[in-house]
Amino acid sequence: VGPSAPGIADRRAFERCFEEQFADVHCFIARRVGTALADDLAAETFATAFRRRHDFDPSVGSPRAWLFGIASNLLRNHWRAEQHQLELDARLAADIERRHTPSLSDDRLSASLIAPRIAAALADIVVEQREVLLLHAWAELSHEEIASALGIPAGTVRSRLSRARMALRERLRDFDFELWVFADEQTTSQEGAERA
Amino acid sequence: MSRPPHKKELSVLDDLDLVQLFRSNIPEPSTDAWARARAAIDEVSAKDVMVALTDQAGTDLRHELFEAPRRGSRRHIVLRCAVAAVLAAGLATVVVIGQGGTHAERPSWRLVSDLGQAWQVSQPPTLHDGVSLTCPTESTCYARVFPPPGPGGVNSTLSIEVTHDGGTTWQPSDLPADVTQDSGQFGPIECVSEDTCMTLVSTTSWNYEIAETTDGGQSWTTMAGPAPLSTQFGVVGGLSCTSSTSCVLIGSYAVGTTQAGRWDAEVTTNGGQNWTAVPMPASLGATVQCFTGGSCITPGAYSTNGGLSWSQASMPPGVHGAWSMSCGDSSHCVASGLGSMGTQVIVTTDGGQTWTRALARGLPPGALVTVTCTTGTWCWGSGATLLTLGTVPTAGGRPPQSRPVLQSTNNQGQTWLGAQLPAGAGITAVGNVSCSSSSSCYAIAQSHSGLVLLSYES
Repeated sequence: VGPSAPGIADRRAFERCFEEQFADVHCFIARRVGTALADDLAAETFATAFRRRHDFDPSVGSPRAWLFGIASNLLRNHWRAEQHQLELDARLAADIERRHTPSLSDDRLSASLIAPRIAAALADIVVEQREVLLLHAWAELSHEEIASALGIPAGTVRSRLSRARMALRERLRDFDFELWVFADEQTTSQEGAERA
Repeated sequence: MSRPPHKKELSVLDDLDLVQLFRSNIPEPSTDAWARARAAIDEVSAKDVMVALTDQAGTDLRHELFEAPRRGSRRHIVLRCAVAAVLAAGLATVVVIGQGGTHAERPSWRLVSDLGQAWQVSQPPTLHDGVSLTCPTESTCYARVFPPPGPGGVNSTLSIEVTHDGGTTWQPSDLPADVTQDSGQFGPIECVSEDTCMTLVSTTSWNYEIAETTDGGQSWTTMAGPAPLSTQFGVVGGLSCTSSTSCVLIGSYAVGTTQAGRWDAEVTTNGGQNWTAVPMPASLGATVQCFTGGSCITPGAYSTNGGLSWSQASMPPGVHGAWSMSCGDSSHCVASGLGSMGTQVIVTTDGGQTWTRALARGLPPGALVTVTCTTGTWCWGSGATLLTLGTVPTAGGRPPQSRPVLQSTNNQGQTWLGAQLPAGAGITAVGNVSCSSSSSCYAIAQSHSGLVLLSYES
């Protein structure tokens, strides 16, 4: 984001920014700590942003990155809640596997098998690395935007993201990607046949 | 925000895709979430300074919101110079409102008592319509309370608890035997002195009556009410007494009666021996407040002769529904109620002849159940967030959490500031505020363990 990025000090500009970004920020927070906390934290994010709106420097980053930075700061106070949610999701894995034999054509079952594994993997990743990974994957921020959001060098973002993904792959190494992909391909081919 | 599942080429599916798919079914934020965020921003915004330009008649010419400049800063000097120039040129009157004016800090409330813990342990009363508090002096308060509604939502027995030591101890009043049910629609107890108070009650036969105490709440007797009160009024808007003999009561005729929907004022000047029925042009059904000079005000109508004749008030468009109203003096009143856009606040500065919408900045989402004004400009507003109509959050399937609303305004409802409630009291909703003076107020509130009394001393 270059120097032409708009400021938000003006009340109307802030209102526009709120309208554009609130749903995404709320969704990001809800994915991390659950919907029950999301309303409060999203409101606090924007109240904080409004209070500090004169501090926002458009030449440093986009309003979106700045808002996600504020949200990330607030989320750090709730890392236990995030960890708890991930561990709860992870616990579902064993239960599902006990009750089901995976069917190659059942997308939903495949997804339900994946989710607990992802949760378990995310729960194991170092908090700082997970923060960067989720800002990249869920908020869809670029390396530079994450750097401005968190106030760290872009190189640090790259290395944290790289380590996070390595850790993720390491923890998912026993997961059969081919199985899931094959299932999806089969569904796709079935849909193609139906259309034909 | 995240890409939908299964849209990416399968050949490049990787760990990042899996993370993106994880928890991708989060719903959009609810209207309550949006409203809560707006309220949080507004609360910050309320600390800004609003500068309003008015002409000599007090008409609002223009108003702008400024971030409060630091005293002595360049912006502060520029703003002061601009204001001085406008004043010197006689172009307009400049009114500075908002926290930057006189709201130096958040009003702080303290917990006084639990309104009789022993009684509450078995059946804690809940804060539903009809629970109210009236404090004619700093030491004496009357509280209308109810145990929880019975099966099928039927309201339970009314109890009037009285304290004469500032809320430290509470005693139940001796009520007439037939006062067993209460519809919960009546306003607070009306006191003309510390020991003499009146209140509307309903009976086992579903009639409405007026109960009176003259001994500080030890005992209550029913007094003669106007004829329509007992059998014909469907809604009773309120009772206002300027002395133990002069009272005005407003109500509307119930469906099924020949005058269904019409509002009447019933006026007595001899302690209820005779009542005069006076048709009213309109009322929003909230309450009525009368003053010794003869002024009577209700949102929608006003009287200048003690309720013996009424004129229709000029109302802003879109105002409807039941409203809570309070007048700091015979000219200035603030009323609040729920409209399609949430809580609305309307004000009058001419004894109820014309009402205008207040800016109402800084109000959180939810309902202001009651408004209590101690002066023409200073008012308290109370309620709870869960009373917002139609936007009760159910995030995550968990029971929604009610948050108390207790706000104050020092500019007749234009801007509001949240009060500091006692920490750890578990308060979920605040009933009405009752003030014996502008510096001494009590509030009845719902906590996790039952009703509690809060106090405020400026």
